[in-house]
Amino acid sequence: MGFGRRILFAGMAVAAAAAAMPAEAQKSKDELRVIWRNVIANVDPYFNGLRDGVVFAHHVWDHLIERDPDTFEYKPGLATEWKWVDDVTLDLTLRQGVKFHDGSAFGAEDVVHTLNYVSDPANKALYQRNTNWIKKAEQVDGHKVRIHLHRPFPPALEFLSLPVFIFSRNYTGPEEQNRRPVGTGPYRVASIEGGKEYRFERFADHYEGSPKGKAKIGKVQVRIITDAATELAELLAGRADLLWYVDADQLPNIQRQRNLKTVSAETMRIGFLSLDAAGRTGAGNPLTKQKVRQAIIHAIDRKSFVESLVQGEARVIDAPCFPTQLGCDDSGAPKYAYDPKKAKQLLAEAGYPNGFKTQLMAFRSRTWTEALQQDLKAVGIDADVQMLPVATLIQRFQKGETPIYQGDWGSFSINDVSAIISSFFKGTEDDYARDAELKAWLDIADNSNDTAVRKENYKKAVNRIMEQAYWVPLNTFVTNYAHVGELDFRAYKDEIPRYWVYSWK
Amino acid sequence: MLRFAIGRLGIAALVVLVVSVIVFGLTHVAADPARAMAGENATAADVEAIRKAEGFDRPLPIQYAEWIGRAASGDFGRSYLMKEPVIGIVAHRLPVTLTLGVMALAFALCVALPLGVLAAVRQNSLLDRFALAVAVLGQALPNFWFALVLIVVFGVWLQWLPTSGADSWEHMILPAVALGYYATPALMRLTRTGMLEALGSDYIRTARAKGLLPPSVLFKHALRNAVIPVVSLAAVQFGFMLGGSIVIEAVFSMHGVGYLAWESIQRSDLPVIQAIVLMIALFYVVLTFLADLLNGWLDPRLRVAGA
Amino acid sequence: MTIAPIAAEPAAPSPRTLMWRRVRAHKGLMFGIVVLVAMLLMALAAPLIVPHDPYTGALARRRIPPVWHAWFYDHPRAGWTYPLGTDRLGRDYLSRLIYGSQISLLIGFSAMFVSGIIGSTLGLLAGYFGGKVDMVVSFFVTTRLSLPVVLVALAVVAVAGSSLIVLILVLGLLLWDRFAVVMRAATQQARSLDYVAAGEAIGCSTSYLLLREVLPNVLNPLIVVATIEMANAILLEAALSFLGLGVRPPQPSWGLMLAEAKEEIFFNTWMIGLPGIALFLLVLGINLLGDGVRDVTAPENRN
Repeated sequence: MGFGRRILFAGMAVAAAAAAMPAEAQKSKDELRVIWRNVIANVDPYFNGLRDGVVFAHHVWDHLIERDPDTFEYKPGLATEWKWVDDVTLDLTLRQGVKFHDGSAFGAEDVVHTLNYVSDPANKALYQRNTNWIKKAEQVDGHKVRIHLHRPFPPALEFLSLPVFIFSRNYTGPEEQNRRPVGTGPYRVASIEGGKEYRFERFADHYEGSPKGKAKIGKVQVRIITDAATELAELLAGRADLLWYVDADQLPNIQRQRNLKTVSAETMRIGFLSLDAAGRTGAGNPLTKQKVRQAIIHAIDRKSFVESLVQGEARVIDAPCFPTQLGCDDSGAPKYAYDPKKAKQLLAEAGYPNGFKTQLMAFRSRTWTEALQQDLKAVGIDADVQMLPVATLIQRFQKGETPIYQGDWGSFSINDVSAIISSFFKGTEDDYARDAELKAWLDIADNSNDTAVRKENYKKAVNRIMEQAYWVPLNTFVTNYAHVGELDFRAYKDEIPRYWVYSWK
Repeated sequence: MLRFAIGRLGIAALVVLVVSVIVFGLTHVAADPARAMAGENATAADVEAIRKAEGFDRPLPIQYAEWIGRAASGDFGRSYLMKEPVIGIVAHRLPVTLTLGVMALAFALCVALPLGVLAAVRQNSLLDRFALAVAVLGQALPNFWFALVLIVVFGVWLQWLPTSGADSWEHMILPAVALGYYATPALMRLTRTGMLEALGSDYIRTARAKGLLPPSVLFKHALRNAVIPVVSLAAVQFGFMLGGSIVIEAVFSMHGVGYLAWESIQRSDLPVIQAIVLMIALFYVVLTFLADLLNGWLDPRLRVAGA
Repeated sequence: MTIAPIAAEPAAPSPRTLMWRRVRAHKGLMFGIVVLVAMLLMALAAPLIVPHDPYTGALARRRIPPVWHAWFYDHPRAGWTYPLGTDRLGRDYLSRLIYGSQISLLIGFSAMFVSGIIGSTLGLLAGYFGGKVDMVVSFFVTTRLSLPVVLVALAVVAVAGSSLIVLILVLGLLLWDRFAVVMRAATQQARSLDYVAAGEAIGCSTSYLLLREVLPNVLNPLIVVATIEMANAILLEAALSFLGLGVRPPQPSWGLMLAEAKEEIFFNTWMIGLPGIALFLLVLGINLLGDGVRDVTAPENRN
């Protein structure tokens, strides 16, 4: 036994040594090699919804207002000052001396053109919600801009500091932007290769006083590798410096490699189950009964789910929103402990002592969904699981074909519950509750500028959702990063790695 | 021969037409183009607006006629996602997949033909057994599994070859081996079977009896006959590689047409799916047409039977 | 050539006995038969022989390594309770492997059957009748060939969902081309043989000729193709699983188990190795069986 063990260990050591050998010192080349998982259809942030695209945009373009990634405070970006004239009018004073990557000077025309272009429905920006609150932007003078809103929009500053990037006055739409993106951000795009590689170079003229600061690493190469195992191979073979969305189960093994480190950080994304309370998949189906929905929450061992599968800093949540979001107050809402007995009892009371058959559709992780399926099975609910590609699934979800939908939502990193609850419970096709009273509270909260009013009404909404168990809030997400030891890396809560901050040790 | 060729050409054209109907029908029945175009977070009103604006509310045959009319002139519309003309996107990705396919087929033939012939000539020898082992192994390994093993061994442990991307010919080696190895067994088996049959046939025996030297018997008569089904299969396999390189492209992160197709399926980017399937169909048709001609030339008996 | 002096062999063995002798002498064939029969028995007896429920696990006992990790690495959790370890949901790996044989075999056999019937019928007709029939069948075949298998299968499964029936039908309807192509070529060659022509000349009925004269003569390539396609169906299912569209949870297929464990390939090789070996053995068995049958029944072996 001892001999065999020694031989095996020797073999492992050789393999591990080979695996952890850094190919070359990237430090001397001053180039950070990053791998992304998804192909960005179009790098124009108004025309893609992928997280990778958001990361791209934060490096190349700037916002009028920047949000501090740690404190979530607003800081002067391209605008040095901003002032609400009234509920629907915002005045901004622009920074002077800002340059675009092509050397042209930044001014009010750029802001006005960008905002008017992306808020025009005719231009078909992908996420209308991000811009459809803007009625019109107008130039007051060379360095002053006024934004008119359609209606009071409390999270306006949050939107201006996240999805609303400022392009140049020469912007003509996504097709051209995808070819030659020009911005003011800390990195300029050196080359774009058909969704497979992006190269960035430090933009030396990134404006002074930027809250982002100037980039420390000279060059960034981003490659798109879609297979998780291949991606890991690149890191192990020393052909990549930074990965993200690494499988949590591999982290301890990666950590054990010489010269590799891992970071696991909580993000604003939450996972949930949406239950068909409104009977959209069939009137009178079991899920339309409150007790059945409550039974489902009791049936799921969310603590084990989080600890064993999601892992890291992930937490169980008891409200349909991320805990730091404004209005995410679960203090009055019922808490549902893991209690299969109670779940069975509730099912019996609802008229399903032997459980029932239903469908559970998901896209993210087969393992995670199977864990839920297993828990449901234990109380007698036989859920047929279908794993579908995300686009197909969302289409079916919106058509009203998903009895139980396992989804997750990152709120575009917006620290306000309107970015999540108001997206799913206001009578749109994402709404499987169709609760008029709930919608009325949300309308009040969404359209008020009074924080107290907003908080009160969002709290009512959270209470109602949890009482009625329209959703099963599952967990907060973590993003797992793996990187080479020489990289001074840190993760951020808003799920946006900032390459301009990183440096070589 | 001309009549034979014209007949095959007619079939080929008809095939492409039928495939276009199937593709258009499948994509329009399977997914709602307006919704697919609207994106993931669109409202019902957005979807309806797009349906009207793009004419998706018109009868399918009219939409089909319009689509195929434009497709004939190379215009497959715009990608819903990338907002760019489909033809440009596909053309940009095509070289990767074609190079991969050609290299994989070359690899497969280089292994399959010599091994197949030798295995037949030295039937039941050690060599035959080795060839059989190659065939059996190749068919028994899932190609993505084999690909991952190649990555672990040559990419991570030995660090001889790059494991992802398609930037140089070195990047192509592992994917071509992974894709080609899978096609090898079928080609080799067929070569061997064909050779055995040819060697056992009367005219070879006669040729042997006449005292002709073995190599000329082998290459002039036996191989020529044995190669007939192999040519058909090689054409089929090449087509299979173009359409089937999805998995390999995914593992080695090569941004070719196969992977583009998979992305488009996942995101319901219908114009891209349509264009790719139709384009691959065209490849198949041209290849089988050429293979048929070659077969007819190699074996006059087929020409009579086929015409 | 050799005219055996019949009288000199007192108890001439019957053709059946001769065949059986050849079968037993063929190691590959015997291996194929043994593997396939063993796998079939395992699949059928699965509920009786599994040590644990393959569908339910517990997260507390997830990713326990196989028993040999207790011997060689002193792994505290490995042991005989879960001899081949547990998966990412804490389900017994051995039980899932045993149940996985059901799914993989079912998909392989059914898809092969569906495609075999479609393909060989078309090929036989085309090869025998030639002319217009051949044109029509050629048309079908070319149309089918021009639809890329993996792509179409993916597209259909992505929309229709990946139930077992959908998988079998999709694979069956997509894999018949090789049957048809090989069958057609073989029938054409068989047909040009003298005795079929002779049969036609003396007025034998077409169906008689097809079934009695042509079919037996094209059986060999057919068997080779059938084994190839069965293996193909099993491997294609694995590929679909790899791309995330395998059989529905909680059903285990070996292809799916492989795909699920692909990220473990660097550090927990057993997770991807075990289903890999199982799948490899099965496909190996099928292929050797096909080869063996071909060798044993091939005309050139009958002297």
